[in-house]
Amino acid sequence: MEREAAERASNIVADKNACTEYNNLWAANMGRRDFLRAGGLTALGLGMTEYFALGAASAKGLDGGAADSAILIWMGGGPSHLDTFDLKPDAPQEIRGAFNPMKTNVSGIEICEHLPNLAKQMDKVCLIRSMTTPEAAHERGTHYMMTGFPPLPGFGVPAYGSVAASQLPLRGALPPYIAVPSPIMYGGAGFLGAALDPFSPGGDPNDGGFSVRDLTPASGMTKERVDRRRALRDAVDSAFARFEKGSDRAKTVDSFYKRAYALLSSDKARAAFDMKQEKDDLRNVYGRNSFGQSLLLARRLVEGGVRFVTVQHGGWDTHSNAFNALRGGTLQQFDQGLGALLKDLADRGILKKTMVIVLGEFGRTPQINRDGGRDHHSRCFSVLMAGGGIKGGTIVGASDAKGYEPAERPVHPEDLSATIYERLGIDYTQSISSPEGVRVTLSRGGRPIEQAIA
Amino acid sequence: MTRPQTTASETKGLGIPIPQTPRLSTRLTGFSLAATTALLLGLSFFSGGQKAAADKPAPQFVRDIAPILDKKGCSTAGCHGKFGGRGGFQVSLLTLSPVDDYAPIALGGRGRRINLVEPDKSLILLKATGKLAHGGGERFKVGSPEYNVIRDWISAGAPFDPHADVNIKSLSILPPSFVLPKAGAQQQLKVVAEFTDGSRRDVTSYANYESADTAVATADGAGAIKGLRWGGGAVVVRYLGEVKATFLTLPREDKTPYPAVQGFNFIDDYVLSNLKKMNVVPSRLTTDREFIRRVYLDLCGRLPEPAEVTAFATDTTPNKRAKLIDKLLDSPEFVDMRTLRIGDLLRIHPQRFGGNIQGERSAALLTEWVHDAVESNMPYDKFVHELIAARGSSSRVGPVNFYRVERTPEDRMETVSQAFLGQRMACARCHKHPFDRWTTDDFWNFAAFMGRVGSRGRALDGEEEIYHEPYGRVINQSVTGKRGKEAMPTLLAATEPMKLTATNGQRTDVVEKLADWAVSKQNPYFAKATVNRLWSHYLGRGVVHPVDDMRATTPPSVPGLLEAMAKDFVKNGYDVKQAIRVILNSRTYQTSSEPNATNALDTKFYAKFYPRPMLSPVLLDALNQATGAQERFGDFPPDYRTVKLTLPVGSYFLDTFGRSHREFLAELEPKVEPTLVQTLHILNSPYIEDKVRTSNGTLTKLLADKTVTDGKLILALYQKTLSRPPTQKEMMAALTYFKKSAKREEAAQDLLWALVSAREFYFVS
Repeated sequence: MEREAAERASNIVADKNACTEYNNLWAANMGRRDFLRAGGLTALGLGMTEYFALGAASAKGLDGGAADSAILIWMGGGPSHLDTFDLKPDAPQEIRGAFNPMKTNVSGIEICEHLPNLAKQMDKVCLIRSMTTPEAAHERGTHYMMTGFPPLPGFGVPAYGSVAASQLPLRGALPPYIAVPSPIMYGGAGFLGAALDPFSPGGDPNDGGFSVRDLTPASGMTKERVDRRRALRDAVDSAFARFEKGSDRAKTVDSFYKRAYALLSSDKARAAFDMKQEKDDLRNVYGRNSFGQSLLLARRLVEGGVRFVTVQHGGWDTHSNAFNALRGGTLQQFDQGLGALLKDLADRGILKKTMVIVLGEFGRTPQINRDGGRDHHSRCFSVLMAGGGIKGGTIVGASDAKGYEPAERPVHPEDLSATIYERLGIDYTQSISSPEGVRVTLSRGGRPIEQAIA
Repeated sequence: MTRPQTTASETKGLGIPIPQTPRLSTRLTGFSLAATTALLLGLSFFSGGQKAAADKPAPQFVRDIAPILDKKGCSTAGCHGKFGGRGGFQVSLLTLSPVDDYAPIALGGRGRRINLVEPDKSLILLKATGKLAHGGGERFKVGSPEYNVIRDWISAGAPFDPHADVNIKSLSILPPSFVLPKAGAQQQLKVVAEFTDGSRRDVTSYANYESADTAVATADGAGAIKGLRWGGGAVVVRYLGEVKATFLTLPREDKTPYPAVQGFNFIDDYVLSNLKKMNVVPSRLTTDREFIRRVYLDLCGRLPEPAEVTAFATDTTPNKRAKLIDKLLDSPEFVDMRTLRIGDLLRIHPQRFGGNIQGERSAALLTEWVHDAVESNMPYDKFVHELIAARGSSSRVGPVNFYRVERTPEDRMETVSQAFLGQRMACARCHKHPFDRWTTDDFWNFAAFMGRVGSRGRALDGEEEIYHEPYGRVINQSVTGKRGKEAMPTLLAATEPMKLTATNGQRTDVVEKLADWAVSKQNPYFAKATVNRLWSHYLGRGVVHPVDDMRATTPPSVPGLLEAMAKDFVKNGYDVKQAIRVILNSRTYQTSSEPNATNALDTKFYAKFYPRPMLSPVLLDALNQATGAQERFGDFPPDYRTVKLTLPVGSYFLDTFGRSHREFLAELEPKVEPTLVQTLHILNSPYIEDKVRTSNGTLTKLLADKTVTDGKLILALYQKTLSRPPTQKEMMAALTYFKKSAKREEAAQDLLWALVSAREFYFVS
């Protein structure tokens, strides 16, 4: 029962069309990150060192990027580029697939006929058609695309969101990096430490009773009793002060108590999560499903000062029966939500400071298999970017006639990470280090994609 | 210090600029046509340069030019040392591989970086002096010693012969260790490099210096070390890719006579004498109540029950602490705790074995084997040998699953190095380790052993067989070094590869040989790495820290201690239980967490016990134990404690409090760093609240008993949670709280909640 709730919340159900590797990974990720209790890996954490580092970041004036914040939309399972953003109408039947291209509001750019809402927003979108990686397994591909680093056994590297959280100054009481509704695999802070993992609200924003874990008092707890308890706890805890002067950990824990109470008492921070403050009309435009409402929540959070939000969408691992599955809801939900988000961000005038990144771990084989699906293909696939200093109405690169290999301007994950960081005002050439001295360059040999930059 | 002084012996073999050898030319085949043209042009001007410099020996690239790149910051990770370089110019990171830096300087940039006709117009000089726009600004001035050496080198035709030129052989630092008498005192280091031709040079002004503890001492660019406050640590010196450290001690300034402190065993001899050297006094001995709580949490992963505490505190047997340690070491709970620790070390997780039912089977099988090995106290050398030399079916032989945790030779090698030998090889996968001796060739040659581990059967799910594959090959995939060549199995620090064929023509089982070597008495890493890791589990920090990064430049905080413990460990036949027994019986382990007037700043000399958060499974068990709450995990029996779970279960609490996901090598030890989300979960979650209010729990039972007065209730809650009675002040405060509360039940809930959310509860102190 909890699992069902989690499945609904995550919007990624164990998919009968998907491969066992994907479903296993998904189930393991669920178990591990425990969304069985409707939760996330770690919420709202900032270790003291990171907290001080943030102060330093503000002092360095890093707040000057083309984008202030970013929303990353994860198409879990690996979306078929040939059935979404890179159709091949002239290819043979066994490659072409069941869908036709449709015109968009940018002449010369055509996308899948089942993406009509997105088609009206393509003037805001930069479509990369030559993304390429060597990693065609879910886990490894996810690692590469969520972090910009190829997978290595030695240490966990930080995802884009954790780097942004560590590099950009805090804005307001909300945590800087939030995963809606739950964290994506490899979307954590790695060696930067649990304190920079994403906060996750731990529930489905599409549920009527959606609330954020541990931010609302338990039942039967009046404000008066909470305050009384706090005083009692401080009295009990004061005995520990005899150890405190010798222990940094003990001191850090104490400082977190102060911050936690500050957050618990900030109505403004909590209001950002309050979906009821949105009008029904707009909620309907986004789509009354977990994905649509997660996108709407992502917009609220960005407005509330959050730097990086991830939203996940599933159903893209289409090994069999691909066209019915995609037509049967996956594309519709995705199209409605993304179209609404781009329009809403533009209407509110915050698109130009909010970068939107849409990606999955890889694309899919051009050749349709005998089960009517497509398998993993990472040599060439598509990624979308928009807003936040990204040039709309453009196409970067191209795939070959059948969608197997990049034909022009191959884009590597390192180029993508360089673009994301550069637009956020983060020096992508810098090396970051763990507390124990592991050091890596943020974008190893990558260059921002010039054609994507406004 | 000015130019490096040339000693007499050095002139031998110098002064004759290289005729470019055919060997060098073959090195250049990979370069672009433009670069080759530049080289040819260079050669045609060569003789002229030679004449001009005939009266004095021409500078050599590695010895004279490369150190400037490092010293002047050109090769840092932020500048040209960065992967991909800066402005199209890349040299090796921190000049760790100076031989590779010749080509980018002399041949790169379409040959414009050096100008053999007009050396002063070389790009490298114009940029570095700021005469041309340079992102790095001015690094040195025209006419400076650096400028002159580089110009002379270019004038001489920019000679370089990687085979004939001298290269660095070793580095020595004087003094190798020293005492700074007080804060503010200085020590000038002297750094001498010995080169391959036997010459020696004072390179003090060209070496790079880094103080490992900048709160204690700082190092300036000229090698002057200045003391700031009491303590000790290393100063790491780097020159031409060689790294060495020197160690300093700065005693605390205090004329008070140093008290006599009684040690309990040989561990204390080292710890106490080191403390005395720094004039720092260890904290008092723990009280019996403090001790019993600590030792139960550390060995058994649970709180002592109030009755056990009282019995221990009132026991008058003289060696009762040693007896308690023995008792707990023989308890089944100790086996569970060690199994948990080893599970983290080996990264036993179904996900690593494929994630499905077979993955769970592999994880369970390996965990069972570990559990049995711990229970029978299998000698640790045998334990590790069985893992490395494991053969057979993954469904029947537990340790075989060790080879399912990682699947490529290089990943398996990193695991063996880091988990058992305390050596982090990861950096050397791509470039020379910046702070260690390992080169990329060392990495791949060591990985070559694992190339001989064969596997048959299905890769991800289903049964798999691990066997010796004598013809397995590993190709060197580094960026530098012998890239693309087959790597030959070579033990760490060995000069020759292992012989693959025995005298009788049989192929040697090199995996077996690797296992033999890894656990042999001659292995310089194994025993020390093992005792260091054990020590860190009980003292909260390794004598060398981090525990899996033991190298010359991470010095021990207590000199001699690891060697002594390792010797004892080997003498006792790699008996882990005995090693733990020795650690726990030391005065050092039994020292209080409460600092005294002298040692508040200590973080690594063990002058006091360092309070640390409990491991997350231990904390959850303690929480359930203290509140009387029951929690059932997955399909495990209801009475299973969290530390006993052999398979991971979904638990927000465990994730939040930092259980190891057993994913990366860097996670071999679980992270117990505090975060804000933990605090929120403790302060404001229904999860904790439910435990406090649980029916049939600690609180409900006490409240139902009409004979329990407020005072008795408060006493019972303190004992159940903090393993001690409240102080008088605490008792008065709690009584007042009860009086002011309208409902007794709520007051009692509030107190229990306050106790389990207080730091004293969830720290081992």
